[in-house]
Amino acid sequence: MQVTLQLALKPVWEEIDVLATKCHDFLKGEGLDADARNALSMVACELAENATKYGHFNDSKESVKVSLAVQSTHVTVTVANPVTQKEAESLAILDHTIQWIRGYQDPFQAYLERLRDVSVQSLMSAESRLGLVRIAYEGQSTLDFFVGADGILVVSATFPVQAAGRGEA
Amino acid sequence: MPSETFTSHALTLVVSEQPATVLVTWQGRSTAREPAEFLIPILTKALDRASELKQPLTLDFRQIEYFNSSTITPVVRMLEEAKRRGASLVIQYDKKLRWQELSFSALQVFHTGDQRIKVMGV
Repeated sequence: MQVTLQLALKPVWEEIDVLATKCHDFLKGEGLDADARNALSMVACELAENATKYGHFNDSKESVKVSLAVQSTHVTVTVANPVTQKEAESLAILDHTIQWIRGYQDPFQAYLERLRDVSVQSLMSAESRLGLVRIAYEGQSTLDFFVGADGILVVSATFPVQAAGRGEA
Repeated sequence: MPSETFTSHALTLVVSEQPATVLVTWQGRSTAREPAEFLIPILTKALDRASELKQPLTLDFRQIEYFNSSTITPVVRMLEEAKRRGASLVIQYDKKLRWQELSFSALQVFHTGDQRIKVMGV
């Protein structure tokens, strides 16, 4: 049986802290242990940060949609936001980064390589691009994405059940 | 021992001069969109002071509850900056917390053979 949490967030930064709390509470209610809750909350927050940063929001009705689906074999975090042709560069980076991570047998190696790249940038540079590779390594999740005909970008991260410890209240 | 407290949203950094180190204790949650704006001036000043005192700079993360990936970036750049300057920088984390163990053990890639740059689970 699948149990799902669905949330619509305003595309503002403050909503991400609210998301973290709601994820933790929901996953605790589903019996996931603290390690799994921490990992999945991180995954949801990193994806929601990207959606808030790079989404194209025309009016106050448009939102970042987040869902967490808990199943017996895995937990899937899905984050959706509107995009247009103006976000083509961001989408190309997303595509490239996911393909790049998949090129590594162990995401830890991809994470280390990205850390080395980041370390040599200037102290105040805002560029990081660590979020997706952190999801793959620390969040132990498999990433995927698609853009629907309705112009909605959907990014998903699937967390395997063997990583999703259960039993601790 | 003088100490200063800096707060930005849910994140607090306490900088104190201990007998053998300049210590920066991290508390709360670091979730800012661009945390480097808050962190880099504090960490650079702490590294300057540690160098002046010929002591290591210690970043103690054991009390931090969460940080986003944008927070890792300035920390990693400070490790590289300390290495470049010939300074000493130690990171401490709680090895009993799986998320801290995963996150910080990866930073051991920046260890130097002479132990000036160290990332330690406590």
